[in-house]
Amino acid sequence: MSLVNPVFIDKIKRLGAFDINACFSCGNCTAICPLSDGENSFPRRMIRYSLLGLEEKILSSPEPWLCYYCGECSDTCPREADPGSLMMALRRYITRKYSLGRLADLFYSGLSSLTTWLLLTLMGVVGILLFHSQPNLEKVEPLSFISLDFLHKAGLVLGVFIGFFSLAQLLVMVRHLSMGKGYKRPTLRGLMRVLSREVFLQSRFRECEDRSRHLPHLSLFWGFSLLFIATVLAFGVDFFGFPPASKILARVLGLSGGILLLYGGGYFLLRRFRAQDYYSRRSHHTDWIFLLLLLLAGFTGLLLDLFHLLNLIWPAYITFAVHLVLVFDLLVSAPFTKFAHAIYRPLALWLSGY
Amino acid sequence: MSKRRIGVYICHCGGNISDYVDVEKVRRAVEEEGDVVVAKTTLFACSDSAQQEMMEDIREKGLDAIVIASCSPKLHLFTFRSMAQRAGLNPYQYVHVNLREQDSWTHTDDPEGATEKAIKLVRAGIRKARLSRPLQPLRVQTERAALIIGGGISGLRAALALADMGIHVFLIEKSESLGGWVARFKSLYPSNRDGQELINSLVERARGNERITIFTEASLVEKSGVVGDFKVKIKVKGEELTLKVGAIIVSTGFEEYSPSEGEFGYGLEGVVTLSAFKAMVENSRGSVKFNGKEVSSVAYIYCVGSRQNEGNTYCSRYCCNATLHTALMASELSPSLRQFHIYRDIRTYGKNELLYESASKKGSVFVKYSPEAPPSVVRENGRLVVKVRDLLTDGEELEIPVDLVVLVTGMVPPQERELLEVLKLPVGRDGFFNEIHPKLRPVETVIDGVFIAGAAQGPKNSYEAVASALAASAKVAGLVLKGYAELEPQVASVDEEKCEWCGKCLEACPYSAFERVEYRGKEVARVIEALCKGCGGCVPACPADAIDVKGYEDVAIREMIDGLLEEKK
Repeated sequence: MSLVNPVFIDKIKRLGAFDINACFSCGNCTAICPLSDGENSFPRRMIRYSLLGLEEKILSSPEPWLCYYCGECSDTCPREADPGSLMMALRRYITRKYSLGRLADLFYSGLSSLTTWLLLTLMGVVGILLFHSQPNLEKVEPLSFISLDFLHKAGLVLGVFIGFFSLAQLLVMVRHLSMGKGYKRPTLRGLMRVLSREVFLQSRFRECEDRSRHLPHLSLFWGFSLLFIATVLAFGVDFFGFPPASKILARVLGLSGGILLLYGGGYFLLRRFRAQDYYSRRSHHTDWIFLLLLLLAGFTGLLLDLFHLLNLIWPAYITFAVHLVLVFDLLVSAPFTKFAHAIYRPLALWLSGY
Repeated sequence: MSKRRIGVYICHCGGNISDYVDVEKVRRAVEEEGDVVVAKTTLFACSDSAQQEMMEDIREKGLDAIVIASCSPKLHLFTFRSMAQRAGLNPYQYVHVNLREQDSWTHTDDPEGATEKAIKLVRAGIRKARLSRPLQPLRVQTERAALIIGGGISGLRAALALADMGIHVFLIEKSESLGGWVARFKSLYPSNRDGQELINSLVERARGNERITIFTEASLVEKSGVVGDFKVKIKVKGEELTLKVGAIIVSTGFEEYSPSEGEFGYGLEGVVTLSAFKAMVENSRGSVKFNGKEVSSVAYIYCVGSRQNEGNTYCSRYCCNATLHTALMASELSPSLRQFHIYRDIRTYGKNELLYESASKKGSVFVKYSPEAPPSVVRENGRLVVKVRDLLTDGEELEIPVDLVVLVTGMVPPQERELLEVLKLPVGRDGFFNEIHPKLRPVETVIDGVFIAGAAQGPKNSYEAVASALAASAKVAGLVLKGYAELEPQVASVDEEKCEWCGKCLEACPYSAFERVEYRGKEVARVIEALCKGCGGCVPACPADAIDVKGYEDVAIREMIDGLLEEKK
């Protein structure tokens, strides 16, 4: 017996599924969805769970994470109920529910979201004001402004924070999914397949009728990843004694990562701004913020490089400060925002045998 | 019997007959029969060209009887009768042989046998045709007045329509006031019109019309006479009154299905019928309230008292629409009201589909149950809970906690035993009055001159009821404005020479269509032709063998039997 929650759907609507009540269960969405098969009535089952407020069923369903939001369901829906938007709204809902101490709640409703982002940014700014040192004014030398030691310590704290929450929330996900209908025992093979096909190549994007998102999304992913690797490498030279050649490698990786990130981020920002595709027509504020943070972090990183090269003293230091604050915002919030799909989605895929 | 000139036409029925019956063989077998002048086969006897050809044969070959071997007379008896008439042949000299329902369709496994049978059936038809005589329809002068039983929206609307056509109307209503169900509703779908206002305007017009006489607290107690010329006795507030009318419209409406104790939780506090809920919504101010408390959630259980496995097997038609209309009114009143529609199939046909769409868009959630697993309603920890297996969600067992459960109750026929007895109107298995043919004769009954209108015939909403009321009015006007009514001439007749009054015929007659008269110094029976239905019940009852039904005389029947038994190579 599942207890119906009559008011549940209000929450989901607020998270972006504005028209879902119009659904009359015709099943066109299921017929068109590339992900639905004999046992999985994608995405109709999720619509029913949502309308009836079967929260536990939703929390134990991998479906919202498997959806690519190609929009074909929304396109074929005779009632314009926009099932695709529902899947995205459910991701947001699940991200909130899985988060430890419901911390993610802070990021999803208008006022609290604004306050949270302002506070986080303020934290970053205050941190820099408190811990910066007198920079080298002759030559741009970022680490003379913010010391390596501080970055190391701050990074450590941030890493532990993110790691703790991510791990804990992944366990929450495992607990829920293992109770669900779609649960399959995870295998090593499965993990390899998820990592290669879904994470590194993201080839499933190509199964959508509209394949245009594949490259930009892949660029975004690799752009961020390369920048992360570059940062670790560069850091490693100064801190862990990596061979100095790593620094050149870091430069190359960082530069290409930055370009990829700008391309992917810019592409999606433009699409969302134009609001013509199903996935971009209705952007939630969480979509905007995530995208903007990614893009601005990448942009300021490249700008810093440029100013560094041109030896523009103050512009470089200010850009560096802004970059650090943005990166801080992006990372500290990662387990609770749209960023979290980077860990939830692969895990959901793995645990549902995809 | 002088020499006859008979035409025989054997129809293929586009294969329906000719796929199993060798129609050409039948034609050859009967063309040599005595008196047969023409014998033809035809692809579709009912087609215009075939009728034209038959008419030409009748005129040019001077046929004085025809036999058409085709489908059931239910379908085309009148078609061919009027064809004969147009060709100048008396319609009663045309004999219909049913080769489809009574032969080809029944013997699809034996084409040879079917062909043999067809030959015999046609031969019998020829024998009958040989004895056929011209008959003239009986005429009855009609009374330019009508009786309408039931003063709901159908009765009122029919009364106005008839009065507008110059026909006097006696409208009788058993309760104290006119208007029936419609007067109780403040908002009718799909127009949202106020039912009371609608009725008031009709009543006002009816009361102001000199051709309409309204009797409330009145009922019909007796009916005699024939179509066009009825004598009816009505009881008005205890007093009896006799009226003469040409036709009668029965518009006695419906009753709401009354759930039995415990049926879907009926009897529990908070479990109400649709009409009760509608009244609740219409009378609530600010928000929907039950017992003074605001209602935050409602579950509607559809098809209560309709589409039952046993009992009321029919769909009540109005309820899906009425429920969704009420649901929309409720959500207008309480925008945050949660509404669950637990249904079998939503049948918001026609324009009413928009009701379903808007209810759904305004947040109504639909849960589909299977008739094998109907929902149950219980009270648990002080809350009403509907338990149901939802076919739309992988058959998930749901528990829906709600403040109110609305049983969407259907329509049932009113309990009108006395009226049934007086009018002898047949009712269908559903208990509603039966029409002759749902498509072709939708407001006529087998009792000539008695018509049905509105939900008395079966579940209808108000606009459908009015449409059928106007149809019945048109039929009444067609009958009484002509000044006379024609009746079938195939009635009983008494051979006065043979008859020695014994009264057995009168005893056997369900219509009391015999009277005792003087004839050459003796008492004999005479048929009151206008009352006789030609059933033939009197024929075997007569010890003197003095009665025959015109067109079905004993001698003709014997001839037909002989024709059937005749063996020829």
